[in-house]
Amino acid sequence: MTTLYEELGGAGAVDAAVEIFYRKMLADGRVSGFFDNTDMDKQISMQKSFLTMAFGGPNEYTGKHLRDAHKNLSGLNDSHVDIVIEHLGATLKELGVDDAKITKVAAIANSVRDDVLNR
Amino acid sequence: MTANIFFQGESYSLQDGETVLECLLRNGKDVSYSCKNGVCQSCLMHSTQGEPTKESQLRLKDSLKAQNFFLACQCRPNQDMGIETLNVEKEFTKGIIYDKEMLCHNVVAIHIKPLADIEARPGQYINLMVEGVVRSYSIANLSNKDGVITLHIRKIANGIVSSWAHDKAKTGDSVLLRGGMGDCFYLGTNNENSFPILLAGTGTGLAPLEAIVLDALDHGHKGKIHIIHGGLKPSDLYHMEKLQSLADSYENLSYTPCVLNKENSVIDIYEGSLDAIVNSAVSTADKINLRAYFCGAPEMVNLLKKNTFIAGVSSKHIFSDPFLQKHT
Repeated sequence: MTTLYEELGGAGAVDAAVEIFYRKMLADGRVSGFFDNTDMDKQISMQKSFLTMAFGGPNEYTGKHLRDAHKNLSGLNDSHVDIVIEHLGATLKELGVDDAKITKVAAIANSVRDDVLNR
Repeated sequence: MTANIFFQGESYSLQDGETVLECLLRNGKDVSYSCKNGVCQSCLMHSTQGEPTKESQLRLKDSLKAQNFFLACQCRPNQDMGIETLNVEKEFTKGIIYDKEMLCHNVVAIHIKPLADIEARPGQYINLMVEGVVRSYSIANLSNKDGVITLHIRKIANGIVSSWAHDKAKTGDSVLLRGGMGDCFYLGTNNENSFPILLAGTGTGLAPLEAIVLDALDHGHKGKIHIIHGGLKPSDLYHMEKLQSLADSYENLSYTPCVLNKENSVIDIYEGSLDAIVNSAVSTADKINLRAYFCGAPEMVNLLKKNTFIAGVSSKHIFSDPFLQKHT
């Protein structure tokens, strides 16, 4: 049985998606402020881990990682997680992924909401 | 779980999440470091016992990895490690100062003749050790052809190496070098040399950019090359005549000096912010193929990288001088 990650195209799909996704995030004034003091190259490699996780792929993401990475971002709330999921969906749509798979990816991304928001 | 490090006959326990460098500094050890970001390699150390972590070797050459060298600022060991500082004699190459010249009110060029080959591409950076302190500087010339390495060193109050360069260094003095490092260099080949190149920087960020331009021209690069040098005021800029005359001799090269404030200068300099000029240059460029190089003040470099990426240039094609140095 093929996994969602394999169906999406594996590491190649992550590489294709990461730039489009991160560009959308940086260009969006509602969330771009969170990236003001981050190194772009480091961020891109972190976004790759995030996308791998959201695509259901092999990853070393743990709740602790997510909590640590986001705990110093003051003002981060549910609306920002919604925006991430929105851009994730739009990125996949641009890459020609069908709606059923986008829904699955969104559900995985949504499953770490509480860790990201440290609650 | 706590790991211990053994250094110079003593044992030190690491606190939770602490790097080897943080632990040594907390214990008052005088070890070399600079950027603390895993980039400059000033804190390169050697492991005599225990494998260095993957993160601490990420950006090292394979030959260094194989010999258990690692970056102390990136190493959070989960097992005990025996470590030592570099053997200066073995890891550094001696060089002799060949010449020294002031480039503008706060920048001096030091020309160094290495006494053995240093494997480095123009635009890459090297470690310079002076008075026991290591700092990173970018190569500003065609070092592989000239047989001399030129560095541009900005005057920084209380900077050990900077003060040495400005006040003490003289022709005939010897220094220690190690390099080259980083991915800020020309990447064209005989088959692929028609992509456009945009280079922008502030202050001594010009050094690697100038080297990359010279290297691209030397390789017969066919695509357009645009170099932009920014400063606060006209006296911050240097090599204006050199770059202008180079631009006059090569049809595909253009040069834009720019300052925030012209201060009644009559010279032909663009007045405005560097990021605005870069944004406009990127907007008309072939974004799929453009290679962008940004060097200099970290806030500006980060802004230029971000804007260029948002405009549609792939992050793989954006190169930068990675120093986040606050002291030099």
